[in-house]
Amino acid sequence: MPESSPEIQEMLQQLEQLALRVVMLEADDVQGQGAVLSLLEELQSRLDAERLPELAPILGQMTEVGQKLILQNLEDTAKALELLGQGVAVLQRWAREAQWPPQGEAWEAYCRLVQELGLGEPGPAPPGPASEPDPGLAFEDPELVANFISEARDHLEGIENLLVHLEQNPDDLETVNAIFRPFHTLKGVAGFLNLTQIQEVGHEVEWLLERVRGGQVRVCRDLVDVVLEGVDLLRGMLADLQLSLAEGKAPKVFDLAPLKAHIAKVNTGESEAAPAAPASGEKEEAETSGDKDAARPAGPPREADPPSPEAAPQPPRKDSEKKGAASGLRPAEVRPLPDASISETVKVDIAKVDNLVDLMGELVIVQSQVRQNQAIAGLADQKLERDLAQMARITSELQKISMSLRMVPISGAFRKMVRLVRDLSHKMGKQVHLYLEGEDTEIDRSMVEALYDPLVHLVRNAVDHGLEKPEERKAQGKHPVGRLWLRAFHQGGDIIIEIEDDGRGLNREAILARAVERGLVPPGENLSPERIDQLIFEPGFSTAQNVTEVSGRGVGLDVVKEVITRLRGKIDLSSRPGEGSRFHLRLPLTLAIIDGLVVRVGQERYILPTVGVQETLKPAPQDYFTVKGKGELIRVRQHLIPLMRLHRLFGMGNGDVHPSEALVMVVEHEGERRALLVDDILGKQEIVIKSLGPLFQKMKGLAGGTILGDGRVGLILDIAGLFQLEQA
Amino acid sequence: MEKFINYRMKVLVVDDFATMRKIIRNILKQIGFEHIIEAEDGHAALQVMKNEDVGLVVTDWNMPNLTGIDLLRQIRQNPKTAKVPVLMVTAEGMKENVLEAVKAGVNNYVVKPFTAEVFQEKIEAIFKKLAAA
Repeated sequence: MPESSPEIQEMLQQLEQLALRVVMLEADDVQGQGAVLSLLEELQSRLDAERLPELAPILGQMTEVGQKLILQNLEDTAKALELLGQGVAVLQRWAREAQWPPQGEAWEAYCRLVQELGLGEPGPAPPGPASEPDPGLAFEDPELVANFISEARDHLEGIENLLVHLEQNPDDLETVNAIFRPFHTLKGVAGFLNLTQIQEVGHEVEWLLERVRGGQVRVCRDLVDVVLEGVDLLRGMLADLQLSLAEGKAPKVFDLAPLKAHIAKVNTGESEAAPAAPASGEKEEAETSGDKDAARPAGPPREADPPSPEAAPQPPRKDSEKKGAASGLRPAEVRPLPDASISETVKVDIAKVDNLVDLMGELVIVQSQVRQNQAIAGLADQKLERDLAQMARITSELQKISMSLRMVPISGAFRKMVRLVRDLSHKMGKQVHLYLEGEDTEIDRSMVEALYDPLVHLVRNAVDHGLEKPEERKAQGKHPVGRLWLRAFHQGGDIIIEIEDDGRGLNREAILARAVERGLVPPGENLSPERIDQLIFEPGFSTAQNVTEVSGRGVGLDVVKEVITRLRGKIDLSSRPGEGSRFHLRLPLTLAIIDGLVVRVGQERYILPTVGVQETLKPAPQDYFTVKGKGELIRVRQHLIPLMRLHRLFGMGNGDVHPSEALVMVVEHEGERRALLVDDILGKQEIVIKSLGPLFQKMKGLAGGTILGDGRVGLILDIAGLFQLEQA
Repeated sequence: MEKFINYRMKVLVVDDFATMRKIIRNILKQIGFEHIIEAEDGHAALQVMKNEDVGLVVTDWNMPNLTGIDLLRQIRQNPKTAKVPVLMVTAEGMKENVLEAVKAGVNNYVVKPFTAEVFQEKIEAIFKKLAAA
């Protein structure tokens, strides 16, 4: 190569830069080392381009030393710095004098240093000084651990849904990354908090997912199962951790062996299959899509593998490649993690919010007391009138806002169903696609928790009884994959939840036969299809023809109905044979406020939830009967309804009046009706429910209390409890 | 404490895991920093840097949306922020990440889990170098 060629001139300039950097370099100057590394790579690619391979080993060795410096894998950093200096001198001399093989002092010194530093030999890498966890760093801070528990739970919830998504879209590397990330983070933070077992589980699962990202392990059901197993294990650990945090004892030691064994099985089971079909498009995606670690060569990533000289000069991977490949997959379907939004939020202790809502309720009440105050009303001051009206508006707005603080998207309950449906359908050999609609619909936090069990039951029911097996569906001309919808939306101040399947629908003949067999319906009775459908909510009716593992838990839909009723909601059902069934739940948005009728019984005032009241009437004297053994009855349009007197139920002395001198409210619970006798209806209003406290928690017949407009306490009646009291 | 560090500067901590941010915040406080800002991913961090005069960025590598390395590159590309020192937090066994970050111009890196002492050393090394330059 002629000395004056522009290529050589350029290279000399580069070497000059490199020499300058190397002279200035110090062992703890990470930025400087980075610049050296970048320059070495530039040189390497220049040499590659100009087909000058003879210098490659030197550049390789220098790169290796640079990397080791950065990674703090060297004991003798002074020697490393010297090697870089001598290396640059050798390169400069070669470029100026085109002398090969190299000679001279610099070369000799360089060769000696290469030997002394043991370059090219993949010796054991000393662990970085930073990898020792600090035992006392954070564990003193229980709040931090508590934070970790709640945050980890949030992340795990996200993982489950992503996993189910991944199982359906095995090539979706973005989802793999999204699953990988929380395990990785969990592991990292657990390390700080000295939660070694959580760290270990995180590490094991992360390792497996790393291999999925690298394309060495394929996405399959076993993989998803084992990752879910890890999720469950972590959940158990977090629950235990929470317990031990509360009780101040040491966390339990979990047996990680089964998980590790399963991970090993999935790993080996797949790693033989995966290289059998290399160079496929999938493999290439893996190469370019992940960040650098996804593109690592095969091999156990657990060990810190020191770069070998051949592999050392890695071409810089452009990040744009990654973006391009990733968007070529199907990102549209990937749900972002819950924490992915940039909107600013504050985490607040739920007890504070509950307190706020409580106090707001009281403020609304006091505010109306002030407005109704006789002395104030007597002032007849227009300005005061206006100000009071303004205050009323603001307090009611404030109340709405404070209520909304407790509102959370129903997705919390819905997303748990994703996993449930997956597990159930696998267990029963069915194929089910779950559609979630209206996940963002908001509902009071307490309702989400209360709804979980009924939802589980209804979803189980749909997968177990509603949807058919693939063969059966095919035989009927349906798509083999059954469809299940979970919907939520607001309607008229309530929340509606629907669980719909496109399965076989209710078998009305079987239901009727079963009801007759159970004595729920007299034989030969002619019932409308709707009435037959309602029978499945009857206590003592179990739909399972043969008790399966899934539904045969001795719990029928009557329990679901009971829970929904307790939440002051309603459940309905519509079904078409061969086309599917739909359960329709209507629930109040919150359990904190109800619509109630304020009634007077003697000197006491009670609140009767409007939802349970069917009608109110003033009976004529001839509609009142006393029947021996059955007590008092009231005739309401040809039906005789047993009379309930509150003061008798509550044992409040003698206050019997003839029903024709009072009012009767017909209340309904589980198909039974009672006529509740009250002296007067004082009004209908929104009632803020207040707990009666632990002492009265078990009082039958009372659901709680409230403060009425005049500041006195009104007790809220619990209709179901009244029925029980009456029967006792 | 070291003279070449201005402990009143704003330190931006970027991590998607709130517990981790808190851990780093605690350590930074321990070291003596008074003004700490948190961001939950790279986008949020860039937003903060638009409005605030940030003196040091401590960022995690592995984050959704905009990862630590992407954040680093964007910081270096913007002439206004190109000189802001960045400390990268990576996990054990992610050596390739370290090399990539270092080549992209990170000032230093620290491997999880780290002690407060190691963290402090890294930060001091960064500012010592900047003071010498």
